This record gives sequence, structure tokens and C-alpha cells, in this order.
Amino acid sequence: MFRLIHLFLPVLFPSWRFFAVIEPSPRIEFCVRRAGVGGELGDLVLPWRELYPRPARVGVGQALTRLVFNPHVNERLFLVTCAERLVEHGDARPAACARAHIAAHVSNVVGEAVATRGGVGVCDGPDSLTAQFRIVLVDRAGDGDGDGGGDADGLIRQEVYRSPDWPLASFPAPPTRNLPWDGFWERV
Amino acid sequence: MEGTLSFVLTFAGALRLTEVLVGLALVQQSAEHVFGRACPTATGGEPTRWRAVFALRVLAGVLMVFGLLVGVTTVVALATGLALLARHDGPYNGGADRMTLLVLTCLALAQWLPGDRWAMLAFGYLAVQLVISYFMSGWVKLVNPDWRSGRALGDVFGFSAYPVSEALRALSQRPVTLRLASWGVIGFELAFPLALFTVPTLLGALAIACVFHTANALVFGLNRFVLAWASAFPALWWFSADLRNIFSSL
Repeated sequence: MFRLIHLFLPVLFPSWRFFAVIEPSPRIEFCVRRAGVGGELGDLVLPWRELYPRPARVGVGQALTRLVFNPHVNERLFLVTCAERLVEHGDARPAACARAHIAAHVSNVVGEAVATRGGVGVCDGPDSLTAQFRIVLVDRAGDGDGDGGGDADGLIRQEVYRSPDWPLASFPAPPTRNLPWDGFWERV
Repeated sequence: MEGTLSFVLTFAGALRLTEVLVGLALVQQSAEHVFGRACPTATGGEPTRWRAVFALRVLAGVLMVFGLLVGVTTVVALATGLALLARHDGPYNGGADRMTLLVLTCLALAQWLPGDRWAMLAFGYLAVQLVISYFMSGWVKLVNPDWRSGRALGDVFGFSAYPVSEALRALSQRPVTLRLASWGVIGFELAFPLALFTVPTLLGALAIACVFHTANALVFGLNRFVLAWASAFPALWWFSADLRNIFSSL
């Protein structure tokens, strides 16, 4: 009850300080490994990559549809909120649900790849694979004039959190579908 | 409305219009969870018991739009909204969910509090918060040199999580456009309270606000903000008449 009151008070007395400061932005990346032995991490079978990368373009029809019905983008924005909680709290209890939610998404995405492709590039089933995710903060390098370091697009990336790995078999396998795992955005 | 020329919205009219708009907001938000496939489950849908909660909110929204059992449906929408606040450990969709909850709270108080005075006080609070939401957003931008120069908006396009496509990131390389857009937003948000002094300027400001929120929805994927904020507009439309009466009597 006290937790609910704590959550409800900012609704009744909001601050409305939208975009007061543009903070470094979190990105969720994940990898897949073979199950390790003796507590060691196994070999990478799917290198680190971003969870739900943004599409190159959005068509006019899709943009207008999303004005009314936009579940995937809203879920992605909630994942950003979960990532921000992990950045703030790490593995402490307040971020436990956030960590579990991100892990569930990673497991679902990889599980689909395993189900639709019969493996993640190799003949592996979920029983022999583990997954891991990390939070990478993206920010403008220096003063933005190109002399403050950073990569080719003037941005710096810093890993600020890495989850423990978990066996993919611990999540139920999704039904086989004719969609690649990176077709997330085309399902609206 | 009283008369076709005065464009004054009565308290009852404002309540009814708010019920329609927040009902539509509820249907939109909840339908995404009932019919969407964005969840990390085997089917992509919400777990059954939560899908039932969202379906209940869709039903409540539909009933509110048609003016049926509005007192009960407002309370149901508010209670399920609080349950979702607890489920997600905060608002699922940030400011949009906060505004929707605020509208439902003020609407429920206006519908259930005894006597018109307390009901109008609760509804007037919503109008005041709406004005503050725009003014405060503009103020925090005005006092930030990155916003005045356009750099902050460039950062939003350049590396924030909001742009819906990678193509939009190219806008971060247009400093003149970014500076103009930044000052346009700052100017609109700071000037919003001044629009209350006449009905045409108020309706014009609300129309600009709708365009602003729609643009944010298209560019940043913030589609829920459109109806969430629009559902608070009737309260301001009604309340502004009282403000004009107060100032004209000074």
C-alpha cells in the first residue's frame, strides 16, 4: 500500500519537467553462448547485438497506423524504462522486475530464432544455450565538435551493467512462426 | 455549450467531453495490450489475467464514450490504472499514463464529491495542472543553454531512444532547423498560459497543442500523449471562463 501511495503521489503532484536535460540513452544488447562448464561462460555463438534495433525507415501508412495502435514501440519504450532502473539500481531489489522483464524479451527473441531456424547459426537447441544481456549508455562525445573522441558519428558508448547468464531452456519455447527474430517491427 | 457564439463550455459539458476523450484514451491504450503481440510470452500476448484487466479497461472506455454508467466506469478505470501502476512499478508509458491517471482522478472526484463547489474544485485542479504542464516544460527548456542553442533537440534525434527510425537521426545534423524548432516549442509552451485570456486564443492554443502532440507521436512514437493530454482540454476550456471573469472584474 505504501509503495502504491509512493507511486501515486507523482501523479497527483507532477513535476512536468519533460526533457529538462538530455541524459545518456540506454541500449539493451544481448548475446548467446554455449552453456559453460564449471561456472565458466561458454563460447559465443551469437555476438553482442542490440535488442530490437530501430528500423531504417517507417512508411507513411505504418506511421499513421501507429498513431492509433502502437504496441511494439510502447513496449520498447517501457524496456528503456527498465534499462534506466537497472542503471540506477544495478542488481538491487528495486530493479529485479526490470531485469526479469528484459531477460524475458531476450529469451523470447532468441527462442524464436532457435524455433524458426533450428538453431542460432549452429545445430544447437535451447538446452545447450545460455543468454546474457548488457546495458550500454550512448552519449554525445565531448562538446559535439568532433574533437572529444567517440566513434565515427561522434557518440560514445559505455557498458554500465551486465546481467548474469541464464539457460534459455528455463523459458518456454515459443511456437514456430514464419518470422525472423529481427522482424519484430513488421508485426504491427 | 451555452450559445453558439460565446463558445463557453459549461461544467456539465466539460465533464461530458472529458468522459468521451478519456474513454477514447482508455480504449486506445488498453487495446494495444489486448490485441497487441509485443509481450515476452509464448504467444506475444499479455498473460491471461492481465489481458482480462485490459479488456475491462476497454469496456470501461467504451461505456464512458457513450455516457453509460460513467460514475462506476470512471472508478473502475482509476482502480485498474492503479493496479497497473503497481504492476509496472511506475507508469508504463511515462507522462501519458500519469496524465490519464490524473484526469481519471479529477473526473472521479468531480463525479462523486457532494456539491458542485467541491466537484468544480477537483476539476479546476486538472485545468491548472494542464497549464503548468506546458509552462514548466517550456521553462526547463528556456533555462537550459543546450535547448536555446538547439543542441538538446539535436541530442534527442542523435542518440536518444525516442526516434522511431534511424532515418530521423539525420535531423541531428541540421543546426538551424533544430534551433528554430527548439524556440518554436519553447515559445509555445511558455506562452500557453497567456492564451487563456480570450476564447479564440485558447482554442487556437489547444489546436496547436494537438498538432504538437501528434508530431511527437509520429516522430518519437509517443502516440498515447495525444489523447491523454486532449482529455484534459475540456477542463481548461471550462475553467478559463472563470479566470476571464476574475480578471475582468479587477
